[in-house]
Amino acid sequence: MQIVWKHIIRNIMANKLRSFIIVASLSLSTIILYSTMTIGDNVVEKYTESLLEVYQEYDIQIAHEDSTRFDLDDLNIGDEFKGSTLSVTTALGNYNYVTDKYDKNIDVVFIGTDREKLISDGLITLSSSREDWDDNENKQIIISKNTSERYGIELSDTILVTTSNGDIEYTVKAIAENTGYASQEVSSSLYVYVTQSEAEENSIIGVDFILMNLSEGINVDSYIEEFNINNEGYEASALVNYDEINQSINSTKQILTIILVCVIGINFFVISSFTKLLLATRTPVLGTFRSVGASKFIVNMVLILENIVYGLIGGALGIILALLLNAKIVEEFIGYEGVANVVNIGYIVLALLFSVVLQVCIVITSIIKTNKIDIISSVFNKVDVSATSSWKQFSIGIILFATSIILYFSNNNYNYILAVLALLCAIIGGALMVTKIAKVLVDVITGKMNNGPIRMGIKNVSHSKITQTNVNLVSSMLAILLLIYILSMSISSFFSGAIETINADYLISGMKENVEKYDFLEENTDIENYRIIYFEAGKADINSKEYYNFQIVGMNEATEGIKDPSDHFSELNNNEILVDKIFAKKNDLLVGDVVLLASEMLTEEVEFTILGYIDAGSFNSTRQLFIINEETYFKYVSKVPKMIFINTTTVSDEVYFKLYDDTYQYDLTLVTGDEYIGVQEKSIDGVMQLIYIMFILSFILAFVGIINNLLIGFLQHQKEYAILLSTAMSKLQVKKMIFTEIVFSFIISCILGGALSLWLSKILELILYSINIGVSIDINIMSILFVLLAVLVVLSMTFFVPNHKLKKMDIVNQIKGEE
Amino acid sequence: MKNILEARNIVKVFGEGENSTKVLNKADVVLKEGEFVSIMGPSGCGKSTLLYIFGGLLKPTEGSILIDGKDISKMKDKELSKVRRTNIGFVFQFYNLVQNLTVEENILLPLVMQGRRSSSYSKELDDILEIVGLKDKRKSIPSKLSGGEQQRVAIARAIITNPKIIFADEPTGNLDSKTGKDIMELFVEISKKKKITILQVTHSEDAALYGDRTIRLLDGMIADNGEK
Repeated sequence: MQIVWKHIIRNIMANKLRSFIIVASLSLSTIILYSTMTIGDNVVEKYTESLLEVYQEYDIQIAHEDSTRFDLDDLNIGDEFKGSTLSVTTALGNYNYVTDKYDKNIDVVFIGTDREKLISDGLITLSSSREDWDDNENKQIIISKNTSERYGIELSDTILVTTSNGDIEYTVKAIAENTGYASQEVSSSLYVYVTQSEAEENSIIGVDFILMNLSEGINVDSYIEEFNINNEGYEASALVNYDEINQSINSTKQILTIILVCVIGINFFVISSFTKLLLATRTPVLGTFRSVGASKFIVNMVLILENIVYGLIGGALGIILALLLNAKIVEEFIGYEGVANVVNIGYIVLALLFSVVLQVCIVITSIIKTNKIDIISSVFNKVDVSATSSWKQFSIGIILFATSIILYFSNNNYNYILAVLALLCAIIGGALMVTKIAKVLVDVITGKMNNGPIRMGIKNVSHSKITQTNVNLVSSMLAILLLIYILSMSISSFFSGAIETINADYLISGMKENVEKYDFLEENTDIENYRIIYFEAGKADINSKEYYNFQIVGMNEATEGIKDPSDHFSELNNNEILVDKIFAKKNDLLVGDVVLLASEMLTEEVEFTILGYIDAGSFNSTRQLFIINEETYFKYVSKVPKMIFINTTTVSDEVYFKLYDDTYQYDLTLVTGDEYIGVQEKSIDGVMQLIYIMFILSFILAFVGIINNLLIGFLQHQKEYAILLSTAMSKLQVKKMIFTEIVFSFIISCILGGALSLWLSKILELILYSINIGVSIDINIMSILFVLLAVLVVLSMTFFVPNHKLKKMDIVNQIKGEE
Repeated sequence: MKNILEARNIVKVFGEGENSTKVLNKADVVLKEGEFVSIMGPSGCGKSTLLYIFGGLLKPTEGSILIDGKDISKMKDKELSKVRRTNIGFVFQFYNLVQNLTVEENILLPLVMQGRRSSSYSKELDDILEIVGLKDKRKSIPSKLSGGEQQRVAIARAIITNPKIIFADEPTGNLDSKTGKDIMELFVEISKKKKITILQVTHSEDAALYGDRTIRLLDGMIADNGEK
């Protein structure tokens, strides 16, 4: 066995470039697979970490269903848990914030609780700035550093807060770090930590909740289920909602899976073409093995073992790189900073296994085919290097391609699995058909040509195995590459559309009141016009099916990019909804259906009737929304607008600062239209960059592979060239022949790859819709032709490789067969 | 002496229908233990085909071949591989060594294919390297050896399993006359010392003379089996 291992290792080391390409291809796939597998854990870890920081050991939160007050003793939770709870009462007040520039009322949020417990349980950490206080003493507060800095309130300062009990003066007795519970202070309200009794006294509209720490070993979900049965009217919820996290990362996982499929597709062509060549060059050795008594099984095993080594090296390298880059990749996709890099031994083993299995699966047919060659042909290397284009292969290709078409057109519900299957069938089917189509094209063209080097060059495209491999490799690569190009063009076009749709100089958000409250909209003379957008986003149950990040939109006419060709808006009555046509198809929602919508966004559960379909892709790329008229929105959701789009008479710094002052007074957020689009674009840019990197790497590998193939092709044919040179052709004619062969093979590849990419892009659109990315694929034929031309020029430059070899070729030695 | 190879009515047809060619026509050959036999004949008469059919590398269209009493003509790949590993050695005109293995690793290759531990055969390896005169080249790789030395490695590889019979296809065809003579002498030595039957195909009358007898083949038929 030692000798077999030496043979394998020396084989791998003998051709470093080829081995490197195979290993690099496998590593690339392994990185993506590892990221796909760990993305859930990474995000959950990050999410759990941040929630742990906020809630420490607490597992669940209990509140009354009607948000009314309650006491710990009202709950049926068992005495053993009572000590592991923290009751919190929140209340609201008002603080008049006055500076040289501003004079405004801001909300004060009282967080009333056992502050000593809050500190000892680690939910807040006091900074060094601390004065002693009596926890039972009223009018003594803790504030966070954030609040202190925002409102310029220092330790020992007093603030006057208007409560339901009148104006009360509070003294700041301690300042907390901006970590833990204090990190939850997201709005610009003034958060103060007081005793629970004080919070209860200060407001009658306060909300109570209890945090509970379950003992080790108690299953949170089971406990919640049991709690909800035993405590009617109350609701317990887990502080870490894994369902929500999983749904939010589902799209990312699906995108990574698509990338994985495409990269595996590219790897398949790169690795299989290399393997075929490697096996072709080693046929005599394999024949020798057989002649000294190795059975087919043993030879197969030796070759499989060699590929297992490739798989292990590629997998190990991929895992190392994935461990280094994984957190960064996930951050780009999810948009979170500081994602944890989870090392999971199970996933590492799986990724390693994947790399090995992938490599073996790619090469197994070539190995078996090689071993079917009889021993004599192997020993004397009499294997035919001329190409054959089998009808069987073409027929399988046709069947797969037809399957892809059927899967595409029958996938009315935007099913992700079926869409990915359609993509796979199209890629593999297309690749299987390429050889035959190329041969037919060659026969048609050469049939009308006179003899000569150009005709011979073109004919070689269908007669040389190595050229066929290149045609296959380039057309498949190109199809996938163009697919990415089309996708990126479509995304750019989508954002251009979004920019046009927004059509606003400024956007305001963060409203807490009805629009009438914001008088500056009418008073600011720079404002030319403004549009109010009403929507809420959150979890919603549609006919008991859960949707996260679902939007309820209040709108009276088709604006903000919503397309309504059938003018449903004019007929939209109360309790009727308009649904995006793709979302409706995906979820089997038909016109006339009555849907029950339950959500925290609504004041009550409501039954809506579907009036018609609209196209909401430009408004919300996930298309997960219901549109109701504004009256219904005000009734069931809120009168508070979500966004206000403003157009000003001019766009200048002066106008901006004036508007900034106006909005600051109302604690609103102001962004420019460009900033808003920039944020949207940035969220997708990271993902696109990663996709580009993956594909550029794959393309480089394939390009090196093509050059390698050309070199081997030249070596295989150099005796033939020498004979042609010695008998019939000048060097220029041979060069012409080789050049024609190379360029024509790439022209065919570009035609076939380009055609395949158009179909693949249709399927990609379906896949994107299936994962709630409503980007319509926009095919710009001129730009695709330009890319094809550029690729053709780059690829044609590979002619210099055989040309250089031809110059150095020793004709006499070639004819004698001594080289 | 016992028969090591008994081939009866060997027919080999290549191709099908109108394109078929009968390369061998009812050839009978018997080889005895320790016999060194040469096959001669004009190009295309079927010499090499006969040799490869005897070695189990090609299947006969008709006929039977008994190697040490076992009929290999009907054997499946696995059984045939076992026979090749244990009873047969091959020597080719172009040596067919594995270029990335050293001399000793090439020689031990048949044992490795039998699943044996090569380290247990160090004595046999030393003896064989002594016989073929390559003791000082055991760690060399084939590309660093001359044609004659490479052919010696091939012969050493053929005898490491102590086979019953060695088939040599033009073993001196790629060598100069001096080296060819040395190789023939090595075959005679092996045949005598190890009692291994050797069947060589050759174009050279000189090389054929080293054998105990010469079988002459003409148009696929045995014209003379060389028996006196």
